[in-house]
Amino acid sequence: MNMSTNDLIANLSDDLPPVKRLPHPAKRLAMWVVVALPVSCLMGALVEQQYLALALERLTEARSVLELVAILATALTAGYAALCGTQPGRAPNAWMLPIIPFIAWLAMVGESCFSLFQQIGPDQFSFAPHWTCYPSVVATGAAPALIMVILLKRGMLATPTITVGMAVLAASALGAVGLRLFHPPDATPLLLMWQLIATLTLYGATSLGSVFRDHWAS
Amino acid sequence: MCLPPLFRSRARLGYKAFQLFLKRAILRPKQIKTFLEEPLAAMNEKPDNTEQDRQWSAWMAAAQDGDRTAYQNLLQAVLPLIRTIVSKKIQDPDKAEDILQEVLISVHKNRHTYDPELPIKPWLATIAQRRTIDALRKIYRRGEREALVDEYPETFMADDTNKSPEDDLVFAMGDELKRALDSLPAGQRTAVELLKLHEMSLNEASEASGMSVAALKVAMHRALKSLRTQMVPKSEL
Repeated sequence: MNMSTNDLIANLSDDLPPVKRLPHPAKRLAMWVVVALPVSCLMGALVEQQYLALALERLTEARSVLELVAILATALTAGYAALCGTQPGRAPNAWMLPIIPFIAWLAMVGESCFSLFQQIGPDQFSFAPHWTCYPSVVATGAAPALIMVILLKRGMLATPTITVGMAVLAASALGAVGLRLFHPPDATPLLLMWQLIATLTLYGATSLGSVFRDHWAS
Repeated sequence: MCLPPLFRSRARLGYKAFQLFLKRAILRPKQIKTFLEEPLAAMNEKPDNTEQDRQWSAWMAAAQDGDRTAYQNLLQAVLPLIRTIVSKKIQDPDKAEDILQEVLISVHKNRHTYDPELPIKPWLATIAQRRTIDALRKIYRRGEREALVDEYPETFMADDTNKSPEDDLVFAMGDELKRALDSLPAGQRTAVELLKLHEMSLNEASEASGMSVAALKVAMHRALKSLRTQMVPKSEL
């Protein structure tokens, strides 16, 4: 740059319209949940053609409720961490919050897979994707992901890798809530597994994307 | 398995932070909130800086509402802090100054992300560190692709293609100028070569050529007039 730092400061000060402060991450998280969760559930109900009452009947078992709580806790904590990541200097250690609920969620998915494996045996057990389930996965996951991206764009990605990773995890988890309610439960462990794989793939893709973006920018 | 050093150091840091998090979560649950919102270690508030922090926060809050004077005061005041953070990683003063300016632009673009209830130094330090790391990445990547050389490598076998640019009048000035110079009388050509191409002073050129200073001035004046006439595009004549 040829401009002196003092000239730059003078120029920046000259162009100073008032700005709207970014709300607290907790407030933005509440907004995300309030908007994205009903849309996700509605889309899940439309794609699966089910009523909410019928979906809630599935939650009679304590285990199902526990699983839903773990998924919701993962979504909330990861969402909070992602939104903290868009405000430089705010809660730099918030990325640790979703670790415990995410491990709990993974443990339950693993346990469900193991039970299913024991029930149906190795010949019937398959990790192959159930393509017919993908419309539900996309329908329930789209709104949380889209709204999260909009919220992230309002801030500054001070730690892009962690923030994007947390955002992907949060969006997947909130989408999984809708999926857990409206999708047939027999396939849930496999679906969740594929959703996690999709999350990790997205995470890798976004990291690669940021690497390529930096490369091109330089 | 051989992992990149940056990845290893980050993983080690993350593991230590998580250990600390678990220890505090189990032993002192009330401290979790403090731990999560703890500012970066390097920017922990010192008692004598509190007043300064308050002043900077107040200026930033005013700047968010459009107060230009407060904003100018703030940017001037934070320069030493940003310069310290940048120069820890960038040794070249010119590059450090460029990155400092990028940090200021980033602060300007992201001023809406500052919450006046939080201390301002961690906010500034995070932006400065982020931009410095981005700049370092660019420098490393450029270093992987480009190399500074003292001499240009050979391109073709023929001698004409491997002359240094300084020796090669055609390369330095173009065919047209060379032709125009060749067409000048010897005295005028000598004046142009010594005074303009070799950048000698009038006295040095006088010593080198044996021409008087006055003769050199006259020859230079005439040479420039002649070159101007020859090199003006025909359409402008």
